[in-house]
Amino acid sequence: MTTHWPWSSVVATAVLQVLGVAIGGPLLVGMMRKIRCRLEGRQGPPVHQPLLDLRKLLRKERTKPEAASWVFGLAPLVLLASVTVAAAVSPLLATYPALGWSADLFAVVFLLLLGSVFLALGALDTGTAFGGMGASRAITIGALAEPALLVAVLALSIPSRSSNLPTIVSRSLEHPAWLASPERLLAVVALVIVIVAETGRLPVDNPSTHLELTMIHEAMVLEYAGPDLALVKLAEAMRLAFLLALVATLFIPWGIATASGPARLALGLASIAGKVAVLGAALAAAEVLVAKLRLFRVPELMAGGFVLAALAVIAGAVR
Amino acid sequence: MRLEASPRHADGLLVTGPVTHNMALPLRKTYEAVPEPRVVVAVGDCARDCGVFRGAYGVAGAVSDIVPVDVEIPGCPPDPETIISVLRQVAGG
Amino acid sequence: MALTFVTCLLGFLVAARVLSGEVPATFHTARLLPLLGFSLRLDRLGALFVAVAAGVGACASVFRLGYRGHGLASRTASFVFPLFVTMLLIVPAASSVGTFLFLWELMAVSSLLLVLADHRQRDEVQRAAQWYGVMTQFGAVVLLLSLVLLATHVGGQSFALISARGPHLAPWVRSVAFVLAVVGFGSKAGAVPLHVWLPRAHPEAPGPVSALMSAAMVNLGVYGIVRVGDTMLGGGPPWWWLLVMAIGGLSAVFGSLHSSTSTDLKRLLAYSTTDNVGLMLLGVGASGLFASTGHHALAVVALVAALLHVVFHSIFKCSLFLSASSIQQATGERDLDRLGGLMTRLPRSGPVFVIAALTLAALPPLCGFVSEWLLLQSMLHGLPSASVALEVAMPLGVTVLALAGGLTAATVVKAIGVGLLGQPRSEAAAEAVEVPATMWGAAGLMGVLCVVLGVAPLLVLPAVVGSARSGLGYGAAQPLGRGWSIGLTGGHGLLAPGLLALGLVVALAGAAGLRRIGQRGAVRRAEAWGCGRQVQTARMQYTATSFAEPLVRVFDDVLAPAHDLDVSHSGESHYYVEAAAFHTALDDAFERHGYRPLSEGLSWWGRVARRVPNGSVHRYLGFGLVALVVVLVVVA
Repeated sequence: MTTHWPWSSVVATAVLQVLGVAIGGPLLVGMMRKIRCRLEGRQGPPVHQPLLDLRKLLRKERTKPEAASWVFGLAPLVLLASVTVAAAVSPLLATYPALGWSADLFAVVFLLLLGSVFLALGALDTGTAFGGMGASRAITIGALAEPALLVAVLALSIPSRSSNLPTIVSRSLEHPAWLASPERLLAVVALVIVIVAETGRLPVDNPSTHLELTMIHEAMVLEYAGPDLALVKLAEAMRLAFLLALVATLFIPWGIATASGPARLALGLASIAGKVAVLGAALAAAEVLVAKLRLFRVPELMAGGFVLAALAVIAGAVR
Repeated sequence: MRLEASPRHADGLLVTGPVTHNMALPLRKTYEAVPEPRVVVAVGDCARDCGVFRGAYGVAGAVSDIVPVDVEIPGCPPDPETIISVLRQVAGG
Repeated sequence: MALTFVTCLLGFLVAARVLSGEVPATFHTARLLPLLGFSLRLDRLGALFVAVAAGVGACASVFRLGYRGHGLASRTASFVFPLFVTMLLIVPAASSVGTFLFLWELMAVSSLLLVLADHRQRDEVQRAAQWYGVMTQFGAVVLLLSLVLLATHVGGQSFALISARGPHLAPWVRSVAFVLAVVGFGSKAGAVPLHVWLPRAHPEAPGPVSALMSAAMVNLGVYGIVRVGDTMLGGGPPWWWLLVMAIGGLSAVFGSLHSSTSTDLKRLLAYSTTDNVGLMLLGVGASGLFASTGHHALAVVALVAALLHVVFHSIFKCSLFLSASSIQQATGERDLDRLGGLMTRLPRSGPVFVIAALTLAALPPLCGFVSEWLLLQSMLHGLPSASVALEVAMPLGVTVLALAGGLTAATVVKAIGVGLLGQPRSEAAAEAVEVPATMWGAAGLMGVLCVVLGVAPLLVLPAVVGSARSGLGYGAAQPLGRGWSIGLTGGHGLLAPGLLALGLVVALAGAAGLRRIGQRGAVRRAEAWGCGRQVQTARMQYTATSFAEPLVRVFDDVLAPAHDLDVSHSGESHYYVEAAAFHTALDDAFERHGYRPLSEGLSWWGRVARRVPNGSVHRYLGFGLVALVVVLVVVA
């Protein structure tokens, strides 16, 4: 049950998690880019290049389209804020409740949806054709990914009878057999499919494309410049890092800190960084091998993810 | 050094060839879309001073007639090594 | 205006007193309705609906002050409007079959007259009112059958008597009465397949009327199902509640699908009402299912989730409809494809619409998120379970909720993005003028409530829990909150919306600070990047139709859009096209496959029947003889 942890530890952990995701996110993106380049036979930019890009972008000029209203400027802030809060309330470094049991897995899903909705609104606010196209495609894919996502969350919550993240993680630590059960494995795969769609990676979307007609996510940010673009890129990187960290914590929880103390926190940090790096490397290697899907094949992929998640629920309910 | 999909994400422009009448306005608009601080690199003799196309009926002028140019790379065509070393200086310095 | 406002205030005060634990208010007189008597009894369940209707009615009456009349300024409408609002306040208090049906009919007739208010301005109003009138009467007849069936078998018409003896009636009586009640109340709530009147009547009704209908009247459908199923019949076998859940799930998906693909702003909102009613029915059904399988604590939670959604939906739907009417008055347009660029031109109505729409999408930290979260929690905790019905229904429920939620997010982005943002897509939008303060103020008040209740839902939660427990018959209320969080017993599900909101605000401030770090000068207003093309017009933007096109493609089996391409060629050559016109229309699948064949069948029957009395006296005498013979045979 809920024992009371000292507030200082809870707040310190939350801050540390946010900083970790904020710095680790760009590093993760840089690492994935480097792995892709190496596998394609090129040298590639250094791993910390995204951080340098962010610093450069923060110092550039901010522009705003003539037709845009306050929504355009608010969108990057909300996008970044939503992923920051999600990172603060999830048990990434430690199992003890961050921000006092304020959110569970469903809340995290809706927080990320808040960010996506605002990004789409910011894109429509530009008054260009590209913004509308990106927003339309991104929202359609998001809408179709929702069933897979929420049912996968349901599958994860059934064994521990709770959707509270700290509860799921601590119970998983107590019952390691759950982690190898078919429902967990099916739920992992479903979640990975959804994460690929939500973060705009191959095979759903190519983050480095220049062809506007093939863009989904990139088309929404074509108008952002300077600090706005920095916030958007940082938020994207944080979202990828956060989601991979969440998958790592839910399926490979060992190493997470179960009690307060700087040594345990350091171990937690190292273990989550390691797990995320491994997951990111695997994702990057897979991206080299797959081609982008046609836009209207993506719903089939989402349906496949949903079927897997539904099977996970059935498997969990049957035992 | 990366190619970007939108000038809003870019730090500078690489322009080749002379500027024709039809491309004068797009070049101007592209230049204005790049957020400050920005760099314009004119690559090749045609971009510097219209090269062999000087005086042609379709040519509006050299790149420096339409947008302010920061760096010029001479040659018809310029060496790859020259282009790379100039770009390196622009990015590094 | 003032009369309605005062009535609403009174209603709210009475309801609040009942909700806070006082003895239910009763009133009985035999004089108003001879033979039947007129009795009112407001208990906690009804008081919740009265409070909600009072709030919405007060806002609508304030809104009317600034609303440039249209048909609402006529004498009939001025008389009928307070009557309608009063009926909305009294129907939940009816405590006998006769009173209930009388008030129900009065409410239906007054709402029909109000829907017709604009009939001089537009032709479609009459057709919409026809559909609405027929369906509402159909629902009333079915309700009559259901309640009278119960009353005859119980031996009295008072609700208290039915509640006492209802659980002990024969199973077939209970089941027939319940199914009829679901059909009748479902048609009033706008549940599929009896929802077709909603998307027709709401766009044609004046703004405050559609707000009242969507935010107060459809609630009474949900109220009726809870009243009959839980209070009067005391719960029932699982198949009852699976039926309710199925209707709810179908409504949620169908409504959200059509709202995400609709290009008319008010039709979009009407379909989203069907969607939300589906979610409420999902909760009611889940609650009944839990109760019938023995999980009483969860039954309370599910019903609390459903009733909380009733309250919150009324708040944000009222705000949405009032803002949409403000937009319609400011621009004269209802078609999203012709709106846009309104955020700067309507600096007050715009943000109000945005807040209400974000609440519709169930995004934190607004109140729509809280009720959907609670619904998800109640369904989650039903698993794992020994009952097969639960094992099948709960995951399906979560799927439905997820799909409806995703499509609603698409709807909201479309409504805000295409309706308010970007460049104006027509001259009407470009010349929009902000509406009077009473209009955006009324909508804004509900918008403020969306935020306040999203951050502090514990303000209303005890009242809702009390209503739910009274509806299920479990006695006094127990709070569902702990400190700052909403939680289920045992801490198995916790949410602290206030802390989340605080976290978001801090993070927003942090992000804004980060953005300013290296900032060089002010923001430059620049022409949008269009690949350097010479002209960028408003027509190059995405419209609502194009925005929803991927969704229409994915779901085209269900939606079956009709495309019409008209190409005229110049001269005799087929290679030169002079003009091409493209027309696309999306109509309701239930209308196309259900109602249209039905109405055509009825017309055919009418035509056939008209040939029977052909004016020949011999034939009429023959009819008389046959009738006489039949009567003699039956009597003997």
